[in-house]
Amino acid sequence: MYSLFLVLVSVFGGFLGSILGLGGGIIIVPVLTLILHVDIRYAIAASLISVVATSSGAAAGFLKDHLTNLRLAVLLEVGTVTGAITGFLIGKSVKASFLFLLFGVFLLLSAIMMLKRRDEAITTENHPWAEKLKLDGEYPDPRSGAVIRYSVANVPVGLIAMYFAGMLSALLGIGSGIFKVTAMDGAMKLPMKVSSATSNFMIGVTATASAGAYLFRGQVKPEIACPMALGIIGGSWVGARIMPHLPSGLVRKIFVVVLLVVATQMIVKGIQG
Amino acid sequence: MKDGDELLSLEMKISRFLRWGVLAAGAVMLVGWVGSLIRIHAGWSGNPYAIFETYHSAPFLREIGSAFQAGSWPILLSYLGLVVLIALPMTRVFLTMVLFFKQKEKTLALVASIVLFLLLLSMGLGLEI
Repeated sequence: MYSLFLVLVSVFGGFLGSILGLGGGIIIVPVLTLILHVDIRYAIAASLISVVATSSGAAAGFLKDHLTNLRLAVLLEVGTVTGAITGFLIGKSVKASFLFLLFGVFLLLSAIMMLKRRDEAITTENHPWAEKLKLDGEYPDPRSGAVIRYSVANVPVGLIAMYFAGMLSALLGIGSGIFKVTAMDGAMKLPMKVSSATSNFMIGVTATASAGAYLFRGQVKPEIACPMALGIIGGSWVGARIMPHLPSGLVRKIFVVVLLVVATQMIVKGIQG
Repeated sequence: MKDGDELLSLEMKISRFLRWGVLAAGAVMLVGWVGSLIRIHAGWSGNPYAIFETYHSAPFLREIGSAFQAGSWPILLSYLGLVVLIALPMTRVFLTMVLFFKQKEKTLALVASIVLFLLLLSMGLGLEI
């Protein structure tokens, strides 16, 4: 019964995640910890396995639309993977109550970012590193069909931001796509569609660094991680197919309210220790 | 075909391979998980997650050794699925590195090899040998 409940919640998490562009972990970690009372460290490790599964399965889809900047993704993965290793090492000595607090604050930030409109400010000037590595690119605008060219600014700032995104990913068991996209839009001045596609493409490699470390440390429990990963893969597959027919704006608003409630519960649990 | 297009086309092939890899890992995990369920629920209907309410360290190799000794094939299969899953993005980084080398993009090939090294390092840190 409990296992079936976990699978159903994971299917729902994967479904909602693919509609809203979020990882399923944002839903599953609170369910595992607040309802099933699983230790948050096991929940985080299992969540990372789901992140690896969904992003590896979806990588071809991200490339097909020609929005992913592959060269930039490889460079930024240095930042995210280094951050993930740091997060893994910090996670060893961090108390569970702190992780609850951090997760709660992350959920609050996610809710705010979901309501905020993303601003686009494309640059035509490459940072010297972008020039040397030919990181600039182009993509076809789906509406007009015109080719839109873009350059890449502030590469070092982007790398530092990716480091922190990777660290959060390892500490909280999330893909941290929200932070990656914000840094790519804001600091590196990439077009929003390119930021989203490139961030999604990188998430799997980032999560692998910490998921692999947690697996070998023995923190990934197959009894939790396997049904969860299977449920999320199934749910996100269905979600991706139903997404065009759903009023995602309304779903988003409802989900923000849910996020705020869950964030409060996680923070309270963190304070109570 | 431009270099960038060729790179994208090859990367697409790698990504399709990864999709199949995820399905294969998922199938192995499914068999392992169903096997575990049959064992857990044969004669007991309590909360199987109750044992995970408190965290205790149990290194991967020791867990595998215990499962092997106990003949617990569902757990071994589940772990196999998880290892295959973790290996997939690493394979992608490795193949991307090879692609950059073939295209004589030495700097990006070096960057990809650093990513691969860091991934291997993280696994090593998890093993804590």
